[in-house]
This record gives sequence, C-alpha cells and structure tokens, in this order.
Amino acid sequence: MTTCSPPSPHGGSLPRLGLAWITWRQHRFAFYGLLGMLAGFAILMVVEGLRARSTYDQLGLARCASFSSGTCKQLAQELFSSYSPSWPLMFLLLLPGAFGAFIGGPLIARELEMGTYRFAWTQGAGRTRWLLTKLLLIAVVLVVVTAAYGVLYTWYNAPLDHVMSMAFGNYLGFEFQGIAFPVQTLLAFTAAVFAGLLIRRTMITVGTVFLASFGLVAATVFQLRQHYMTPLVTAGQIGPRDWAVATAYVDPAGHLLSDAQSQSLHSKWALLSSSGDGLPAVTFGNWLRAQHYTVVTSYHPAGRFWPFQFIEAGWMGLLILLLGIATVWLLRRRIG
Amino acid sequence: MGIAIETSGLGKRYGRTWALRDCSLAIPAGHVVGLVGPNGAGKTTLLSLAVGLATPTAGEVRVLGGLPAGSPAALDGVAFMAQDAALYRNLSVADMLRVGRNLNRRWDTARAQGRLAELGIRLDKKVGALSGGQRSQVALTLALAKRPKLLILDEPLAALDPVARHDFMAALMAAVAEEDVSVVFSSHVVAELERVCDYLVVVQGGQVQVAGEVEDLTAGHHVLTGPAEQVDAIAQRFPVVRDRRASAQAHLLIRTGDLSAAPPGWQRHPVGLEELVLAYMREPSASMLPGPARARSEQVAC
Repeated sequence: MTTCSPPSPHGGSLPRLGLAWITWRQHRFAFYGLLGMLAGFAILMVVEGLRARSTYDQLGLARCASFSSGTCKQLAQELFSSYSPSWPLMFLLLLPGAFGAFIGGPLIARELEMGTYRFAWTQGAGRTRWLLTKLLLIAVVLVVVTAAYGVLYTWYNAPLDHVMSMAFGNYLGFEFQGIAFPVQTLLAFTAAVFAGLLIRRTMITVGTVFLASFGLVAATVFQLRQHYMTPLVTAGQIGPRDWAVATAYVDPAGHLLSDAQSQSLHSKWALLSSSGDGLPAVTFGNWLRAQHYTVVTSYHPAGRFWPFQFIEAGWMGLLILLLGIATVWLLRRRIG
Repeated sequence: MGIAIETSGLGKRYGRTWALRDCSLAIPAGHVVGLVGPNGAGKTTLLSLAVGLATPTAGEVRVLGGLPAGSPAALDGVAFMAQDAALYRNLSVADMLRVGRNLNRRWDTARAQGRLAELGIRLDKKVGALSGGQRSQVALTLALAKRPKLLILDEPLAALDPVARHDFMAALMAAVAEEDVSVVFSSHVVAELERVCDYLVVVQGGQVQVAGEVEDLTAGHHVLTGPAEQVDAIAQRFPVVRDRRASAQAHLLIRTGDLSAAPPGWQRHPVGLEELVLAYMREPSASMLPGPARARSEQVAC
C-alpha cells in the first residue's frame, strides 16, 4: 500500500481545466466587478475618443505640419479644450489597489475565515497546485484586462497626443502607454493574497491592502518615479516630450545655487521691481540674464520612457515574485 | 491489514501551548475508530496533522501504510470531513459536487448523485440553505465520492440533532459495509461509540491515554466490587483506573487481561465501553499509567 494509483472512474489524473473552472466559479463576481468598474471608464473614453476625432477633422488639423506656432497652434489649443477634463481619469490611480485588494484579498483570507480551506486543501489536487493555478489564472486575466485598458487610453488620447506633445512623465501617459498599470495591479494583487494569508480576515485584508497599494502607487507617481535615473541638466530648451523635473540657477561664477539662495535671489528681484525706483519692470528670467545668471533645467530626455517603464516593472516585478514565493512557502507550511 | 494512521513522537505546538505532545500511535486499517476526549484534548489537532492540514512541530505522521500525511498520494487516498462540514455555502449542491470532482483524480459522480437522490437532497439548493443534517450528508457524500481508503471525520456529530445523528451514523455505517475503507472519527459524544466503533483512542491533555480494539479493551477491564478496606491489596495486584467508594463498599475499575476469577470477597462485573471511556476521561492521572498491556506493546507508547 505504499503506492496509491488504483484505477479510477476518470483516468487517474485531475480533470483538465478543473481548477480553472473552480477559479472561475469562485471569483466570477469579482471579475464582473472588475469589468464593471472598467466599463464605466471605457465608455467615457470611447465616447470622448470618437468626439475628439470628429473635432480633429472639423478643425482641419490634419493639414497642419507643425503645431508649434501660428494658426495650427491655436487649433491645437482648441482641440485640447474640447477634450473633457481629464480629472475623472485621475481616479484610475485607485484602480490597481482596488483590483488587487478586492480580487486578491479574499483568495486565501476567505477560505481561512470560513473554514473552507479544510475542504479545499485536503482534496487530491493539493494546496500548492490549487494556489498556483488560481494565482496564475487571475494574474493573466488582470494583465489582459489592464493592458487592454492601456490600449484604449492610447487610442482615446491619440489625437491630442499628435498635436500636443506631453512630457513622458505625465501621469496618465506613463501609466497607460507602457506596462506600469498592469504591473502595479499585479503587485497589489499578489500583496493582497499574501496579506490575506497573514491577516486571515477578508475585510481587514481588503481594506489594508487597498490603502497600502494606493499609497504606494501615489508615492511612486508623485515622488519615486523621477528618481529612477539621474536627470540631465541643460541651460538650453528641452524637447517637447522631455520630462522637466526641476529648474535651478547658476551664478556668474558657475556655481549651482541652493534652494535658499535661489529664494533670496527671487526676493531680491521682487524687491527691486516693486520699489518703483525708475527701473523698468523686467521678468525674473530677463533680470537674471542681465545679472549673468543662467537658468538650468534638470530633465529626463524623452528616450527614457521605456527605461523608466522597465525600471518600474523591474522593482515591482521583483516584489511580485518575492511575495508570490513567500505565499506559496507559507501556505505549504504554516496553516493549521 | 496495514496501518491506517501511524505517528511517532508527534507533537504540535501553537504558540507556547502544546496541543498534542509526544504521541506515538499506530491505528491498524480496517477499523471504525472512535477518537474521544474532552474538548481541547487534541483530537482536531491530531486529525489535522493526519490529513496534512497542519505540519508537525515534532515527530511525524504517516497514513495508509507509510505515506507522509499531506503528500499527493496521501491526499488521493484519504478523505476528510471537517468539523461543521466546511463547504462553500454560497454554492449549489451540484456546484459543490463539481468542485469536488475537479479537485480529485478519483471521483465517483454516479455514486455521489445516487446517494443524494436517495437522501432527497436537491442538487439546485444552495449548501448554505440546507439543514445541518443535510449539509453533513453532502459533506459525507463528497468524502465518499473520492472512494477513499481512509475516511477521517472531525466531530461529524457535534452540530447535529439526535435524529440527524442517527441518520448520519447509519449512512456512514452503510458506506463502510459497502467497501473496504478505514474510518477514524472524533467525537466527544461518548454514547454513540459503542454501536459503531470497533477501535478506540482516548486523547486527553494533548496525549494519548488509551488505544486499542474495543473488544480487547472491554475484555481487559473489569469492575470489582468488594470491601473498602481491601482496596490496597487489590491495587497492588492490578492497575486501578477508577476507585469509587460507597460507605464500606468499593467499586474498582481495574485493568487486566487475565482475571480468571474475582479475588475472594469481591464480585466481578464486565464493563461497558461508555463507562470505561468516562472513567479514563475523569481520571487524567490514569494517563500516567501505561495503556492496556496488549495495546501498549504493539500500538501505543505515548
């Protein structure tokens, strides 16, 4: 009785797609929720995208070769203002955390909370296969759905993107025209599965992971991302798609001024131009140039879009991998 | 007959508390084994270890003649019915069956559906909408559909009313009679045992107190009734499990296999299983004594 492979009613192997069916059956409502949330945004984008295309044609923007000056610049501005405000899209910042937490959080926590793990993990398939199948299938679905979303955004934004060059670090563009959105969603998902295994309470897991993921995404977008590489510094103009992260002043001796020094320089100019002592009002920039200061810009050149995408995908991917391995490891030994 | 569950030096600690400690036990296959003990004695822990849900802190546990608990081969051959049935309450019975089929290499759909039809449980009903007794029957159906060699049930009767209890045990016994399956079930309902068990394990305070075939246990224990002043003389000859006095009379539950005749001045009575189990459960100190002689030499060293 040391080996156990008796003939069986169905072939001695697990049913093909059996675990896939279970994954679907248990998580289909989460999936519908995911689609529902995205559908709202998607409808908005499709409608706006179509409208933008007709405006583009009406304005005759197709005849313009360049949009940097003259009538064409005005027309481009008109197209820009015809786009509905993009602030609803800022809610997309919440989505990676929301998807990850609501789909990943219950995956293990709910089984532990309801006690059903005692059924699920004592069946022939075993808990490792059970977990890996669910993780991989849901991860694939999340990637497909979020990537499709990126494609839709790119389509929606294409007319505007054609006439107005945005810095590549611009939030929505960076999220949706690369791989950042799917990767962030996967990270939140894996973190939620892992947290569920530790916390063992569905609602607490979902809430914690949702807030933590939103915090991480916001910190990444507004703080972390610009430090992925050392910015270049130039005294000249930067390209339209380059991402300016800071400006600074260089004194006549060639030293870069600190923030405090720049501040006092600005105060000095403000004092002079408001004192009414006969000096013509000059702009700060012109005044600086007259004093032989130069203005320099720190920026990331447009070519860094993909390197930045890969850096973000790299560290998040590493976290995803570590969390995934930790989950499998813990699930195999710590339960019970 | 092989060994259904075998543990050696098995221990499980949660935090600082040992739920089960230094347990060595060999339960032969082909029995209906009752695992009894008070709440918190370590029954659920022992069964969780045997089905691989928990990993031992110390020692090891093997099932079905040497398979490590929780290994793929063990999971194929062992069916587990957890306390409170532990099914997905939001699924219909039909979907629950489908979940079971999709998680197992061996699965007998016809048998499962046949059983449920016999019991009159509708497949389109949600598991959560069933009565406790029906839910237990569904859980048992799922366990049996695996065609297990070893069926482990954790407190299957705890949440059931007397009628459902009776029906459940009848269904279990019918299934056992049908084919070659070893059954281990835990219970703190001692009264149910005598009818269904032919092997008994008593757990107390995280340790195994008694283990053996019911026949041997009842044959190996006797109640002696006699004068209280002679108790010491008896206690020197036989291990005394329970010493109950009523004025000048003493009722001793003693353990010995070969008691051809009662000592002069004493009367001998056979002992029922329930009385025997209760005596051990009331006397945790009896766990300090070695287990029944026959059982100890071949099966128990806790």
